[in-house]
Amino acid sequence: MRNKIISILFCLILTAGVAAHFFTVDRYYSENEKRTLKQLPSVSLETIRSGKFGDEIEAYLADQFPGRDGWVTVKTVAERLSGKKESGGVYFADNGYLIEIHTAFSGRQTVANIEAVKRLQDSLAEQGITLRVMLVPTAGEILSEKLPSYAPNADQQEIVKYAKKQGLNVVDVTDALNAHKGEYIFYKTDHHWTSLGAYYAYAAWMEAKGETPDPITAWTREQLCDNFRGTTWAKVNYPFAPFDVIDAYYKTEHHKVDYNSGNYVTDTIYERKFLNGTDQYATFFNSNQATTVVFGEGEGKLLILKDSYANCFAQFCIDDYAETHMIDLRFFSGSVQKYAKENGITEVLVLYNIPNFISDTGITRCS
Amino acid sequence: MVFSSLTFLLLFLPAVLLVYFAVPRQGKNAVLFIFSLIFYAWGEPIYVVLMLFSTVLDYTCGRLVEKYRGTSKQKIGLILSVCVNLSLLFFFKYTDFFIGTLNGIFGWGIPQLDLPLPIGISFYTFQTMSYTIDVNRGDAKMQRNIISFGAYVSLFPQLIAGPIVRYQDIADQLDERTLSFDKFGDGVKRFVTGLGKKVLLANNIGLLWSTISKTNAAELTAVGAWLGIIAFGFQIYFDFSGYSDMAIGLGKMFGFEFLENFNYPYISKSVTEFWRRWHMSLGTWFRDYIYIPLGGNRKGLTLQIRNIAVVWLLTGFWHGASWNFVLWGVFYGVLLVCEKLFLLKWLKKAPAFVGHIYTLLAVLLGWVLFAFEDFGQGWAFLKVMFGAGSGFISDGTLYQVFSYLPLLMICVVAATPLMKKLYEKMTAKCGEGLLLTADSVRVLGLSALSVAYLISGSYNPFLYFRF
Repeated sequence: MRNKIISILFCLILTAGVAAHFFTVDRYYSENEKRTLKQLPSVSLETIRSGKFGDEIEAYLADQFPGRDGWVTVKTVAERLSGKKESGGVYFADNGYLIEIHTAFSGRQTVANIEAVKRLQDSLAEQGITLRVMLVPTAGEILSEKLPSYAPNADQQEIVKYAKKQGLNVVDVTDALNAHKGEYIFYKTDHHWTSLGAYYAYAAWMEAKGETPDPITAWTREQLCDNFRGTTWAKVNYPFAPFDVIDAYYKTEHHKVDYNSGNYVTDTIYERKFLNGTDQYATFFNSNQATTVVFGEGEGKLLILKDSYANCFAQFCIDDYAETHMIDLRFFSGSVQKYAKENGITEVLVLYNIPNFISDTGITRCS
Repeated sequence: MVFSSLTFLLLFLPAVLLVYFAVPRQGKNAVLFIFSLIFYAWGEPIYVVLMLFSTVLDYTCGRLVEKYRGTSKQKIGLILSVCVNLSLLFFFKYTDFFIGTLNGIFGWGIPQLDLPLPIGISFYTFQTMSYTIDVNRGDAKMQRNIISFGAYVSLFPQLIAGPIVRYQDIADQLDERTLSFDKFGDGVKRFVTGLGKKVLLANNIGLLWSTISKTNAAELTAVGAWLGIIAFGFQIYFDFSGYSDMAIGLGKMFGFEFLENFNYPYISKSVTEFWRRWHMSLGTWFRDYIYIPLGGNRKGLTLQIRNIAVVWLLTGFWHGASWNFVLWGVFYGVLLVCEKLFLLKWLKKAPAFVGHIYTLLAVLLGWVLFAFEDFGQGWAFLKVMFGAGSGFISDGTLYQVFSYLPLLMICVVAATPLMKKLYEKMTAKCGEGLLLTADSVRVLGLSALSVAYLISGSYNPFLYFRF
């Protein structure tokens, strides 16, 4: 009798699995994973013969499994219960922080990127343009005390030291961030720094240039949202993680912004439509664009070569310049030097978080 | 296809169950045969031809043996079957190995074949040989129905990783087997347990081993190396025995009773006992078809030692076309001879824990030989285990120990008969309601968790591309 019920239970499970698959509509895109999902593969004699069809079916079934993200949650919770301190490339750190794991860096890409930036720095110097490099340590470095005991963690300072030794004009913001590590300078569920963290780096950069930064009170603070769960959260889909707050800081609410040379022109650096989605950090400067120009009331023209860490950093500097240009080398394929010449750039800042700086293959194209 | 895939669980298994139970009894073997061929063809369609060839050949050989029974030609079918099966196995599995070895010794430049290994060939060639041998010996009757014979050769539950089912053990069931809820339910429990062993235990403890085995020997600590090889020992056990559990479970669902393949090997008190509990179907095969025909232990100690040596060279070689597997076989051959000569007597007198520790040490050292195909790497790893690495323990090792301690403890418990005994006690003492709850939780819980891990394996946030 017991086995009869178990038999029926198992058949029900199988039926439920099959039914759920056939009666749910396939999704095209996963918000959490930020990627398109595998669709039903087409059959051909060639793919069947090579066995590729089988692999594609398996990938399709996994991608379109009903409640896919929920199953990831089940796994994460199981890993937590089994005593694991990490899951999906993320450490479960103290105070609910989810921190990206970086245990080793690729030496070859590091060398190539630093050489490329050095070449750019030298040739810009000949034209009288100063290039500075801001290498931002990530939460794994600044908040390393929160990491699980003995957790392997690559030393990002090695990279800063190496970059300095190679002659890069480095603005070291490590001390500035360390001095405020008790404050809310990194998101708990995202790999980015907060606007506040970016402000401390801005202040350090101004001081490095011999200027006095305005106090943070000079900017109006506006809370953009308080239900943010970012990239590190998406990797674990952990229901017990906290929510983050995203703040905006501005001196004047409106700036003229031009994305990709007139492709899209708007009057604010905050693209508020993203606040309704799951990707709220993209509110700053409309996610990642190849080129961005912001017009301000100051003097000179700043060019930032950057990753997404610059998106909230730029809030603080745009009023100091007449124009602030931003180039994302992942999407920009032109010549940086030519761009600088054509646009009358007077100052260049390379701003990356350290793991990105030494892994982004786009950087080698900057010189 | 493998059992621990969504394709199997969501498409293949429901389909085969539905069709199998829908058709009348006469058609069931045909259903199994056809679905088994699809199962096999999923990964490597071309090699289905090989399997069909093997089926037809051994079927014919069986008929030949029967036709010429009692005459001088009786052995023709047997010899043909054994020669062709061994040639197939040799050609696909060992040709490149021998070319490589010859090239290495003589500096020749013979090009390698670079053929992919047909899945399960080590298993099904052994099974088909067992058929002609059994028929020749009169241990089993000739199978007249080629469909039923095809179902035996290609039977998907044990096709890929065993157990190696001797024909004589299954001959009657091929023609006549009972289907019942009782068997089906037992099969479900067994299958789900195996799935859990593979997906939850083997895959996860395997992560620890893959991290450690990829670490440069110079950066590895002694504790780390021991932790690593223990992890490997658990991985291979839960992987392999989990697969056998799934095979036995599926077999039951379809009405078959396969023999057990693992019997808690890690609780053994000697290496001799370990091999009576580890991959039992392979041991039985070698015993019945090689060791005993060679004379076994009946022709004096010298010949017995020779027979053990032959069997263990072959056992090692069967596990893979590489010298480290041969060495691994030799290692066990030597240990088993020593035990036969004197060690077992000593162990019997010693307290039980001595035997346990000795066996576990021997098996773990064996796994080092097994795990590294490259002798240099294996030797370097062995040296680290005995203190030649970067010290005794490091922060990185401590992190691994703390991260994996609960899982390791679960593995230890799962490798002993503790849960089984507990379950037996429950069955004897508890009411039906409680037992049903326990069984349901086991089936539901293990399948849900396994599915969660299988799906998460593909969950791969691609954050930098669009962000």
